[in-house]
Amino acid sequence: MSTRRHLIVPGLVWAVLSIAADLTLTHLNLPPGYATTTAAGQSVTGQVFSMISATVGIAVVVFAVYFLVVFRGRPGDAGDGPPVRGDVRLQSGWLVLSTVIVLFAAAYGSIELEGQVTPQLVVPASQYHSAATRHPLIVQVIGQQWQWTYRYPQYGGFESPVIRIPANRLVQFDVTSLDVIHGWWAYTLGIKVNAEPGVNNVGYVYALKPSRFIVECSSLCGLWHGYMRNTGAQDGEVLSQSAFASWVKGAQRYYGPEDKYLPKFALVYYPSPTTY
Amino acid sequence: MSQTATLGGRSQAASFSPRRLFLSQNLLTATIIGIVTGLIGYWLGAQLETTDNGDAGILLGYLVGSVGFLVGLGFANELIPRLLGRPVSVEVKADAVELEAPSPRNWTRYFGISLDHKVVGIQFGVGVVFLFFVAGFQAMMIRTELLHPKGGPWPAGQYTALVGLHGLLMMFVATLVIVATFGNYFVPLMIGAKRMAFPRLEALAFWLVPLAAIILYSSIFQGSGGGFPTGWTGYAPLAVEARAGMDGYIVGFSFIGIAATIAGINLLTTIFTMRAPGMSWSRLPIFVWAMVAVEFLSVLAPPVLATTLALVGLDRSVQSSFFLPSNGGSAFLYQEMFWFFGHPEVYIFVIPAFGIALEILPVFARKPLFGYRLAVAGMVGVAMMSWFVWNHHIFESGIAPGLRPFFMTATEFISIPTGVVFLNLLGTIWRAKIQFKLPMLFVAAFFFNFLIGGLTGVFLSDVPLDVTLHGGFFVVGHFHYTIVGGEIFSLYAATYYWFPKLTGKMLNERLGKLHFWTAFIFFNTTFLPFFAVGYLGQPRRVPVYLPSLQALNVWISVNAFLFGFSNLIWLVNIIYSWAFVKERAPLNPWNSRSLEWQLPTPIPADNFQRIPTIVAGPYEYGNPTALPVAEFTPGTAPVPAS
Repeated sequence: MSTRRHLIVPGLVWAVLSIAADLTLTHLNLPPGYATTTAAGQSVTGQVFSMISATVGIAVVVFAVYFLVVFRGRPGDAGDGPPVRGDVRLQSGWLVLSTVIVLFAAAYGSIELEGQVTPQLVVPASQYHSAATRHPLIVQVIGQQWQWTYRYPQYGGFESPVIRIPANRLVQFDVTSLDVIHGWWAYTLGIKVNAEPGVNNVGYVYALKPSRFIVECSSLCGLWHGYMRNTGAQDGEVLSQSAFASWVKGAQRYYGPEDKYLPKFALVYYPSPTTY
Repeated sequence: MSQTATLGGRSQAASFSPRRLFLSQNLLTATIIGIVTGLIGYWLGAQLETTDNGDAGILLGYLVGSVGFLVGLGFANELIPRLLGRPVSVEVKADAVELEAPSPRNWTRYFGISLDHKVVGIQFGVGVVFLFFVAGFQAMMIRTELLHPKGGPWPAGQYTALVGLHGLLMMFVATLVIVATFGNYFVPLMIGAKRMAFPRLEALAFWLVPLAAIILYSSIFQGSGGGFPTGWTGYAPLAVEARAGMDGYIVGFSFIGIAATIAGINLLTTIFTMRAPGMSWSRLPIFVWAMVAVEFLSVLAPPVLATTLALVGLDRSVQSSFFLPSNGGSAFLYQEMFWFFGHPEVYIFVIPAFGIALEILPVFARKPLFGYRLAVAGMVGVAMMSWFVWNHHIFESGIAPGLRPFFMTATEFISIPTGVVFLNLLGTIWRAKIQFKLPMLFVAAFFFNFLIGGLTGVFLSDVPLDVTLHGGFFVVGHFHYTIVGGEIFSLYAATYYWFPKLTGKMLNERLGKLHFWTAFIFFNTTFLPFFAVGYLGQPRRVPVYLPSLQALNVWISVNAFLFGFSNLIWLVNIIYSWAFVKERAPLNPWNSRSLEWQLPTPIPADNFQRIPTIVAGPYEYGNPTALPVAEFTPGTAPVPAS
């Protein structure tokens, strides 16, 4: 059989399958969803990477399966195949193609990354120069074994066990830990920031609409790591700006009296070690 | 004249006497000495202890006990006389007994120090595969816990300890199973050497493995709840805060690292200095090239681990504060140091798997390996680049922002040399005459599994995607596809391929086919949904999950039990074919050109009566003028027809 037939047949199968796969992927809403700009960016990136992976993966599988089936040894034929050791053009072409794909993925990822960690880029383009971007809401996330607590330094430093953030405003999370390494992960917000002791780890989120979100711990931190979460009644919430303002007032009244027992607000804390 | 020195110089007489048993150097006396010295070490440590933790005693107990065990076994038999300036006598004995089939007289050499690399290879093989099944049983326990969203039979602390034990023991297995078993056994044979460069070091590398496993499992009995709470990565400061089970992790993991370094030094020196005449680098089998590539990692990376764990040990026992920020240390430092080792470590798992797959492929395609030089460049390139990507494990830990694009790009670039192996596959099977014997089936499965594993790695390398996927089941799916789907499937292929040369028997064909289909199908049905649950937000190392994910988790658990069962089929096949089948295998059942298949079975103790001269490469299938690989007697190679 001619070389051309052995390449065209699997090539056609590949084209059909990968077009079908890519079209399906463009219509899927991949996690983590579209509740924030960062989550939306990740969902789109997931689609793009899935399409690239599907195209490449289907190519390798289709060609390999075709070759394995068509070029199997017939029973009774104990001979060898032709002594082909290599092909410079094919090898260079493969290297060039894989480099191009990788460069594209790296460039796409770097641009997307800048859009997720640079405060001005996390907000939608229309908000670049707004006051909301220049003055983000700062929420300090404190992880400890085995609970998350949240402090709002711009509102007197009160500490709350539940997290509320406003929609349509840049929010800056200053994440730290009191003891071991934890991971603050708000899945639908598309943010994961490790809580490391003695370190202030910063992340940004711009929520697009009110929603509820779950917070989990993503870094093994001891016995109750799996239960270190805000779910159910303790769900995090993205509130509209007015609802957030009234929540803050209520929280200041409710949690404020504890402030005098708490350490002064700082970016990192060093609680005195427990002896055990 | 062949010579094999057995340290201790004990002859293998069949008669038993208590005096001989208890006064000679053997496994039993070494164990007793190890336990006694261990207790002495524990007592010593307890004297040093300034606070009430007990870690100094446990750590010293493990270390001193291990030294006592190794000395009791006979590793210091040459060392001590030399240090004292006395003459050293090492008994040499003729090898008539080892040229016969294994007999009851010489089974004891597998339980002591052997200077024969083939014996050490079998020791590693049996020992490490045993650990594989222990760790696999633990995986079954983990999946039992995850049958219900609110958790299962094991309480939270026990579950994390189970996860850690499964993970760490599988790391032991993955580091050593191909390199130490097949590398030690076959590399000297493939390059035409009579022995390895440092036989006594190699035996030491083996005996560190049972020590490491026993030390690790003794952590189950420490403290309330037992085990260690950190998972296999051992993050400080949790590792510093943990109870006594953590000490077993520290010492056990360090020993395995040391064993990997030793194996690396030995293999590198052997390959560089002991190749037969005519074995040029371009005639080297691709498996040996894989060993060269991996040993650069294996020699350089585990010492970083041992150092890091030593620092954790110091933090735990003498209250230093390398990783405690409240006293000036840095928790983040642990992550950096650990992953600087940790990333080359995972390439230590995968590069030998490439070597096995590319070694077996030409034999069953009956064609030369397509792109031999590219394959070598790929494996060496992967090994070199693996040093530059480690921060992709800690993208969210607060690394300097400018580093993230760099490590993301470097990680994505490493997929270029990794992808080369698929070109080797496609080019080798192009116009081939593929024989679908069992080793070839597993090689095909390897490539399929590794394709999925590799592509999902690209997802994880992208930082924005990693924000959602890190710390969840997507990562777990990725590394199970590459390590189990990649390395373990190439382990299966290697056992079916080399079993006739190792044991003189063929593995049973029907059991093998049953093993292949159940393993391939159930592996994929188990681990493919991992990507789904990971993308849907299920974190790893957590015994509870959202109720909406229960159906997926139950599906995964049931298929995991079936995949575990398929491994038992493999084990039964090995035991049955080795011990109960009488029919001898042909000398070269796969018609391979490679040098190890030109030797008789069982292979003589010193491999070659006379070092052969290598006159051709091992992949010259289909070339009618190609000479056989080696000339065993000078001047007998047929002159090719021109």
